[in-house]
Amino acid sequence: MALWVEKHRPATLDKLTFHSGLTDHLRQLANSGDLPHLLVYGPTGAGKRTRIAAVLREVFGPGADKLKVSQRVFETPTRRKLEINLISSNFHIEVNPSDAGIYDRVIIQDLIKEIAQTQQVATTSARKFKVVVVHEADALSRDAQHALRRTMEKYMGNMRVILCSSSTGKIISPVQSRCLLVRVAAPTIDEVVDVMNIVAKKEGITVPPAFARQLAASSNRNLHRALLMLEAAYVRQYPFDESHEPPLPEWEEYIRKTAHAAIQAQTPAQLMAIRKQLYEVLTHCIPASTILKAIAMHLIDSVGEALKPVVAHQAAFYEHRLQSGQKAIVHLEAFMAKFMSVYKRHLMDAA
Amino acid sequence: MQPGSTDFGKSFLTNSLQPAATAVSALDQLGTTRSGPQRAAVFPDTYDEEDEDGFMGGGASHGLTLLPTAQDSDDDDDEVNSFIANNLHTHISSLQPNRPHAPNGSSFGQFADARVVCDPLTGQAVLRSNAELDFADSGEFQIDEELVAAPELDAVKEGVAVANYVMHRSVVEKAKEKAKLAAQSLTMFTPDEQYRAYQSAIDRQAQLDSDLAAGKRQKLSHSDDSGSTSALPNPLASGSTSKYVPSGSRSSLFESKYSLPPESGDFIASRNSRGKSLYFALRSDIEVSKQMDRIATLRGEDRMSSSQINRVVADIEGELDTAQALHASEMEMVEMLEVSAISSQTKEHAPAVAADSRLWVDKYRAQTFLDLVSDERTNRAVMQWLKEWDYCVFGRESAVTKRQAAPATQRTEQGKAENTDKWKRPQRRILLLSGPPGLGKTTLAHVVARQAGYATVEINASDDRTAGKIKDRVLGVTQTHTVGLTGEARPQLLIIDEVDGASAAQSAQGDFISMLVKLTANTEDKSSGQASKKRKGGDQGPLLRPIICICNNVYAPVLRPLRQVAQCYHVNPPTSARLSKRLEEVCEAEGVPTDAWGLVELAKQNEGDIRSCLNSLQMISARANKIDSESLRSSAIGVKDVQRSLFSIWAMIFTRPNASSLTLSRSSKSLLGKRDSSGRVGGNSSVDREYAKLILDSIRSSGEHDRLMQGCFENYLRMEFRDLTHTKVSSLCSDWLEFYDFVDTTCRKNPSGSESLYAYLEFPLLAIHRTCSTPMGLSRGDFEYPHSEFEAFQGRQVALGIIQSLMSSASSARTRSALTVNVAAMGLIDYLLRILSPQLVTSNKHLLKGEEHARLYRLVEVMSAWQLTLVQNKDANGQFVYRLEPPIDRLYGFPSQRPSRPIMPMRYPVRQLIAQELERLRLARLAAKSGPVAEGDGADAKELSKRDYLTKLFADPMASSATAKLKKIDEDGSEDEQEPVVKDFFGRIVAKKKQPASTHSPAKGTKKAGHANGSAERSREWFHFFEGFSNAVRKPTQVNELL
Repeated sequence: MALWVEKHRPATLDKLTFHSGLTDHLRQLANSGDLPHLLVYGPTGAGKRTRIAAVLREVFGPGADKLKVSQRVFETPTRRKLEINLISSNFHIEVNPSDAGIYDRVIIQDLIKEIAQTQQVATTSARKFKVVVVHEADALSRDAQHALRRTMEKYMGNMRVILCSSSTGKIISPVQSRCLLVRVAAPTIDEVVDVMNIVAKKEGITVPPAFARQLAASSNRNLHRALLMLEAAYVRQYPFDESHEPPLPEWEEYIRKTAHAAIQAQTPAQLMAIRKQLYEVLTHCIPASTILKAIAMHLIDSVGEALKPVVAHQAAFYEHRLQSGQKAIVHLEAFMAKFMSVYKRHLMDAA
Repeated sequence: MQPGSTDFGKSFLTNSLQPAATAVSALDQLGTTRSGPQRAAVFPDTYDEEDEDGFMGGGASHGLTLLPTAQDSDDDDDEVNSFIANNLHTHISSLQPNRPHAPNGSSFGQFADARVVCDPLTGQAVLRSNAELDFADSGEFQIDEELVAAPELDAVKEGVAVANYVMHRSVVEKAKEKAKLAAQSLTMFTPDEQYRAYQSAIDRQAQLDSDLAAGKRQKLSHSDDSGSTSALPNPLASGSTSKYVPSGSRSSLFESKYSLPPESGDFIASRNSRGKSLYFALRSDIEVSKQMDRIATLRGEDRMSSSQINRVVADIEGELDTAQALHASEMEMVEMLEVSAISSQTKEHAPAVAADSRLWVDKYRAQTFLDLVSDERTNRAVMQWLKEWDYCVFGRESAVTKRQAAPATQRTEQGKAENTDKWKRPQRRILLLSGPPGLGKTTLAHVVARQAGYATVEINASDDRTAGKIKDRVLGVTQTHTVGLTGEARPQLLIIDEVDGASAAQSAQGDFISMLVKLTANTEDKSSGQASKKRKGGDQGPLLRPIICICNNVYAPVLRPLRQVAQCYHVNPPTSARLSKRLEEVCEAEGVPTDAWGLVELAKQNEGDIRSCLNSLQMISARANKIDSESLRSSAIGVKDVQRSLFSIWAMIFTRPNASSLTLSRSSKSLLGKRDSSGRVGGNSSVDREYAKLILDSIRSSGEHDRLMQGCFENYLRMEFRDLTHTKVSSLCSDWLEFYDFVDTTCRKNPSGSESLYAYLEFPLLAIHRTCSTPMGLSRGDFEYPHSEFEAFQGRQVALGIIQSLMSSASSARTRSALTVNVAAMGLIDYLLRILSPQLVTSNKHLLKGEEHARLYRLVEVMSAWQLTLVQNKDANGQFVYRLEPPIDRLYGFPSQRPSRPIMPMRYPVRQLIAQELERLRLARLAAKSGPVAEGDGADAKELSKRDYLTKLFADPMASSATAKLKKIDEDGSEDEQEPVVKDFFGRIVAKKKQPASTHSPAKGTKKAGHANGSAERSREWFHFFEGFSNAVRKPTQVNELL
């Protein structure tokens, strides 16, 4: 028995509950006999992967659900061996190039060429093409993306690419222009509540509407998380304790404290303490940009109106720097230092 | 030889010449027919204060001077003292370099050198004797005149004449031409030889070991310093101070020093072998005694071919002490002396002329054991180790081993290990010397080896050091003798220098180090079976010669095997006082005026590196005619180009400069951080600029931008900021630290294309200096070495590993496809852990009630879906605990924050229950897997993908096949229709039986059900297995029920 999130994931387009307009589009596309390259983007927990899987099933039939995991070894130009997990069916292959770090280009080139150069032989397939699903396409390096752009055209006859990304910002425009952009927005709170109710019904439990809304809200309209929270709450106590505040992940709590620390005192020593906390969060494999964003959100919540735009601006500024740099901690600390400086001056002006 | 008319007095000359004559005759009587150098030697003795020592010293003197009575007859202590003081340590050798028939021609150069040293000594001794009138009574010359060819005898006489002449002022003018010849003939016993003679006396008495002797020597040298009024300097004692200026320098030294007459006071003129006039000033008593010390150091190397001496020594000693048991030790000494003499000859006879062109490092390289500047304890330990080989190599008991045997002199170091080896070799057959460069390790090895009577063979990094080659060489060395100039064979000793540089590369015979190790080990197996003492030939004999290895880093990985079998000694840097004293001697020998403080500073700067000290000195002296702290400071070359340690650079960066720190920084940059300062010198931007330059230089020379930056980044917040609005930190951070990161990133991404950017990497560090430096340096606490970045990196790797193992064990490919590291890290694991933490109170499965039971099974289901297990192991206290595997709970929460809710049932019994249930479920699953599954069903596809993995993982044929049966039939009864081939227990194909499908034999079916595959097919009887047991249950069933 898997988690509810997995167990009740809709497998076909028909079973998708929200974004019905998008679902119709996708169905049309899938049934048209051809499929363009897709760039599916949207926040986490909005259902991108579910939709991709559903489209694949729509296109190839149930065979697309028969997944197997295989390991492939790629060799980098520097003769380093990379082991990459591939998830594939007879009709498509899924790859997460962020596993390969800076060598993702090698994987993209080798893998896509290999697939593109072989014809689809499965007779059962109605389609002539195979599909390559690239997860976390925004983590693709520039090189890899450039490697992608030519192959996307060249091997159009045999292969379609579905890129899955959280935003289009990091996809180079040549690739964007070759894809059909599919935006999967986060579900509204009502939609999340609906899904929760469906799941609850299947599991044979009842969720009080108010509690469901609370969960949906605190999950930040992230359906994946909302369902996990629901299950966690169920395990903790059933019938649900409505007064119990659904817990956030530990790291978010932690970051809230970090942000709070910056507001409490603005000294080098405090900055030092904050750095230590930031290191800890980074150690938990939380992406630096997520940390920065979360901190900025907390800070914006806690400062006065006058400072909110400043903090937002600085957050954007330093997130940009974060992207161009390498040592995340330096940029996170720079942001915190900047905030402290701004905030302290603000306090002094006010005084 | 005429009686002088000077104030010296007649009696002096007559008295002093008479014994000389007796000496000559005594030697004649000895009948030693050797054509070696002749000598006159007079030994001083201060030992009369201590009976024992006095005896021994006297004995030594007797042995060497042949005139025991001269001293013994002196009843009065004072007289003896004065006698000693006035003794002339001359060793007159009358051989001239150009004598074609002189067999020991190789030693002429040495004598020529030695004479020069001798001259001033003689002069001083004489002068001193002038001061003390009773010199005439006791001062004597003895000449060891050994049989020589007629012309040589003349030369001896001339030598004697000159010896007297230098004592006698009146003959100075007249003897000038003769001095040319005679000066060459003056030499002396080296203190070193005296020491050995002394030591042989000790050995003979078997009362003192070498440690004790060393201690005594030190004591004696102390008593010299303190008791110079009563006891006059004793060459023996002063000779044992271990600093000597080796021979090469002497001629030039004295030429320069004595080439001009002294400005004031009386002097004696003489000439050296090159005909250069030398003027020796007359000194007072105290002056002389002081200088004696120094000269003793200077003449350290004045060894001559001393085989004759030794023979004399041996003869005399044999006369004095006829005890046969002790004879061997004397022989040992003799041999040692011979050997060392020979080696020094061969070494020194080389370029006396080109002396000045040599590097000081070579020129003043220690030549004898006592010259060594390195730590005496180590020196002695090495020597001792080497002496332990004596029995094996020279076939006689060495003093050391004998002393070991003697119970009376048991010492902690020596008495420890009973040497069971047949050759009585030391326990550890390889010596490993380690220590930083320039401390004289190589010199130590060579000197000790030579002194102990070995010829050295050196293998260093410049040689081919593959195992095969080394084997040949080692075997060659350990089984042969070199043929010396005297035709005497000396055993060889192998010195392997720079052994840590040996490559670990494997060759056909293994790598170099293991080859060495094998050499020692090999020996041990064979030693038992060896009958002959020294086995030659054969494939690889036992290791019968010592090997000394030298390395810088004893902990180099390549040395690990060697470290275990070798005797390891670490050579410590000499104290700066000791080193500077030696430097002073060198400077004096070179005639360069120095300043003691400057030398101490130089020694400190170079961290005890003798080589670089000497090099610096020579460099400076080539430029300036004076060496003092001023010139050391002002010339950058005086500073060893040390790669400043990271810590000192950090200290520089965080220290605000002032004027004094800048000047200091020139000479001792490392001190900067610690220097207190009187505050910043107002408005002196030039200081800042200079200092900034200095910092940049240090950063450049260190080349470790990254590490430096990391250190700065981690520590800059510790500094005191005067920063009210926190702007400084902020601007520093965003302007400079980020800038560094950008540049660094670019450099890393494209290392070849961005060389021009590298130049900018050091400026952010300077910016940190500008912003953060304080006059006090780092204000609070100690500087922390940067580690948090690395720790964070490591932590991230660990976390990543856990997440990835979780991902790879996710039950279905569908789950996996949706799972990324980010997803897992940012929420999934937290919630998964919460889902895995239901409330479970009861730990007994049978007491579980509805709710709780459901919770438990839900938990187990989820865990097995993620392939999470609880693994039992022991914690640090030895308690059994169940740990989650993969340990995703480690990713939950933060150390500095208490988790909002504890996760996972913590109690041991509960966990145990869960673990048991998991196991049951696993087996059940396994059974399901091994049952054939029809393709085409979604759920089955999942199972299929896992089956391989699972069967591999839990390969337990009994259990799986047995449970397979259970599961297959239990589940739905729809057994496989087309099971292809059915085999019985013996692997024979069993013909399928259709209805009615009875088993072949019921008994077999029950008993060996585990093996009887397929026998349950469509049978009316089926059996139910509990894993591990054979309590099968049979139950009649209708076929209809199964269909």
